Amino acid sequence: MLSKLLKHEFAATARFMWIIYAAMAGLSLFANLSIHMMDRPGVPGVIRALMTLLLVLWVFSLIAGMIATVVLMVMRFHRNLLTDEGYLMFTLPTDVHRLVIAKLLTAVVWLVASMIMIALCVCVAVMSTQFLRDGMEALQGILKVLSSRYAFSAVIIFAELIVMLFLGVAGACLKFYSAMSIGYGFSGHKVLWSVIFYFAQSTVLRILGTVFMVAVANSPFWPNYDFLTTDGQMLWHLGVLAACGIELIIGAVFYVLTTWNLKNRLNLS
Amino acid sequence: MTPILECRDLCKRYGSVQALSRVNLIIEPGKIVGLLGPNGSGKTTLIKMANGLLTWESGQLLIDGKAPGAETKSLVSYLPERTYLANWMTAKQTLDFFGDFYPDFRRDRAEDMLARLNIPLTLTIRQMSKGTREKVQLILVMSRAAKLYLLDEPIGGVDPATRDYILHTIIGNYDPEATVLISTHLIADVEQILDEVIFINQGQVLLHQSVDAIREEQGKTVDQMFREVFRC
Repeated sequence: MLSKLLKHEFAATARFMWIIYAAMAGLSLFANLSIHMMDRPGVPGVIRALMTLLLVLWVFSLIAGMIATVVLMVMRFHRNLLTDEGYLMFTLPTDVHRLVIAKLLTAVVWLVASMIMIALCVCVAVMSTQFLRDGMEALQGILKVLSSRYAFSAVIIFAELIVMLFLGVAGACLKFYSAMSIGYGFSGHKVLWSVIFYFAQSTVLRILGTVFMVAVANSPFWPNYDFLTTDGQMLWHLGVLAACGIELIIGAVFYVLTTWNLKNRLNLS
Repeated sequence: MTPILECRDLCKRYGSVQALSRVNLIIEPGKIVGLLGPNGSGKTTLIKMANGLLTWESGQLLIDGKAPGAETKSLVSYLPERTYLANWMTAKQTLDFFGDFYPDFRRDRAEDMLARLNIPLTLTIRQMSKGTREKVQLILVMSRAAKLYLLDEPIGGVDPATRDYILHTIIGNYDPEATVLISTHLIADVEQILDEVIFINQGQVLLHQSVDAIREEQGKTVDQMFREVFRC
């Protein structure tokens, strides 16, 4: 049943995402053209100004692409589960968990895909220019320093960052979902309640995060670490592990809030 | 025989409003039952609870002997009082959707009914008129070989010709062993197809009787009985 839900989720969302990606890719090609033209001597000032404008537009398109992905994923959850379409979705022979997981997995995949798309668009725009070569050299330099000083494995760092990214994106989606599931349980002003609960959740998280950071900084365990020795590697891994653990706990709390509210406080009228 | 729908002392509140109050009902399989009552009497609430769309404070509701859940949802075919299909979907995509999720969906029957109404499979829900949307939704719901059909106001807000089509579709497509529960306040239109009626008002069941018994014992039509019971 989950695979069928995922199939329909991707079909419903892909029709917008391909358009966004096509627009981002198209503007990136123009951006590449602009960068190359601006590199050439003797280009008239008007053309140079137009090219600059195109580059600004390209940067905005990348930002807009990411924002549009977030908005679309939130809107999809809202429209498909909390408005009239919910009458169909909640009467399918499946449970609330599968409905939420299908939405979550689809959103995470598209959000990560949009990030990758932005990185690819930047690569396309600066392709075969000095900027790309300089960037690659700088990245190699950073990895070399990390490897020599802390004996880090670039592959492990990359894998850890990917896990953190997925968990972070999932947690962010679930924060939207739980706020909407609480807000739409009320009989009136559902959107307003959702917004209020979103900011209330964010505030609580910020307070808890600050308390946690202060507690960690004041813990007797903290000063024993020597950051510039091999302890640094252990510290990095512990940090990533702790960050993943925190993201998992936050995500689990929002997931339970979402599913509980959809099961017990669903109010589609 | 296990009742297809059973309520025991079922109670539901919306804030301070008592939507259902100690509702006790037993509906046997193989009947067409009218759930009749004025607006706000609790008909939609009861149907939503049977579909797992609402929870209740106390009492019990069972579908084929089981509490509403994923298992009972595969037995129930539900037509809500509003369009629940995504407006970007084409008629064909709605058939694909129902075919994917409901093993009892009879696609050939649905395609045949759409063809008879000259509804192209490429037409999106957004492009359809309100009446056509309601027909498509009814076709999807009645093309399932479900054990229980819960139809919430299927003839409300449509013209008399569409009303006839809807009633004809219901009678022509349900399995005689299945149960159809039709909620409406348009008694005269549905009276001729009902086996039993349930009168509900202010969250309480006032009457649950067979149509034949009303006609023979009371010497009245269901419409006359309804007007008498719900006289303002």
